[in-house]
Amino acid sequence: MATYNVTISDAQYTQMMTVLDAMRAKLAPLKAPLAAMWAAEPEKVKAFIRTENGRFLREVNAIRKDLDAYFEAIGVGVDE
Amino acid sequence: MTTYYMDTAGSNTSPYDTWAKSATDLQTLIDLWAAGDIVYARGTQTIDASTYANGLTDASMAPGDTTTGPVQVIGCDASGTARAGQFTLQGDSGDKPTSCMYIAAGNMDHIHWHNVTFDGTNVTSHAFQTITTGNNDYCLFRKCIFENSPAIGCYYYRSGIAVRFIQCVFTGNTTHGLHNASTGALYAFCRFGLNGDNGSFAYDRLSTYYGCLFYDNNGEDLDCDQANTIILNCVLDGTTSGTTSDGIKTRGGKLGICVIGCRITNHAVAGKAGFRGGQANDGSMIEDWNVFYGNTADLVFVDFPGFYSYNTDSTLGAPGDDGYTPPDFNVIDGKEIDSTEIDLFWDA
Repeated sequence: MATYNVTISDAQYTQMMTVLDAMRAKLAPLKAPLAAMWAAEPEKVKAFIRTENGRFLREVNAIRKDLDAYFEAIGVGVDE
Repeated sequence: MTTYYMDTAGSNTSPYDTWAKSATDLQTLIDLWAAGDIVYARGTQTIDASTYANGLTDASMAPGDTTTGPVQVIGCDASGTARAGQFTLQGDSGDKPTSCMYIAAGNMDHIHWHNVTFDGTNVTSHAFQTITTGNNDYCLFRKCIFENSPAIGCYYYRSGIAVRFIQCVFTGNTTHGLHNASTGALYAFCRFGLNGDNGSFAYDRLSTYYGCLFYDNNGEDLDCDQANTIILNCVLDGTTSGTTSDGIKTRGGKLGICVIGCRITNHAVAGKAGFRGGQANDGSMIEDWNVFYGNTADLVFVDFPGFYSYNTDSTLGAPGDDGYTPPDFNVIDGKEIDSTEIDLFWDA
């Protein structure tokens, strides 16, 4: 019970921050080449950003489903 | 640790340890429970002002703790399975209390509410409210609904730290969906929609919004009036009815509003914006991977002697910088968002 009490927010927060860190880590090496591309091919850069933005939303949904499974496993809810 | 049951169709027989012997009034169990206890609840309890003027109360409520465990109130369906949207607290239409739940004593530490609907249709104020400056720490609301109140759906006023709202819905309230003035709150996968004023009036500090959906609130979708808020992978969209205000507004001269990987779209009323740095000394960081679309203005900064940044390397923009000069990996003409693309309509 105490573990449940403590870890819900910690685990979830860690998962979220992992997503954020992954975003930043992926971006870092791309920053210079994307900036270089911007002047000549801005639409390609924008398309890439849109794609990544969409991927984040899909990851959000995946994490949400993981969370549903977690709560179902501890007996306080079922996935709707 | 004791398990209790609450069902308005029960026999109201102590010790309320089966569905058949269920208490018929949640207040009975609120006054009984101790740390580590579990309450399974189903059906709809109607609260009249003659019995509870302000709504159910924490005057005799024991908090949970980190040793024995939280107190858990778990809404269930008719079969007794824990499921969202199956247990409702509501006011009596002919004898309206102030709220469904009225926390005045500050005894909400480590109370976990799962699957509970606070229906404010027949209350005179907020559907759920805390009014203390005391200890309402580490509360958790998961798959709870705060709806249809004549004021705010959930009014969590200057009370408690590390409150967590997970997969909650704030909708159809006359003013704000949520007004939280506590510290270190987490909002994960929540939905703030169709409220008469703000989706969330964030008078809290050090809070995080993750994977939330804001849509069609008449005020700002998210009004950040305090410091150090992270808004991560959220959608703020005004498509359906058209909001009359901004997507995100910061104000109050605060620092550290950070927006990352969000979609802020269709805030198309004249004079409004997707993101508005609203007052002097705001330090608002619009980091990368955001998509803006269909807003009257995407980014507006007002009276800005402070700083703001658009870049993951935290390069500081000069006041007046339009922020669109690369390297700036926000897209201001991205595709139109479909609000249902982020799947949070679990109660539909």
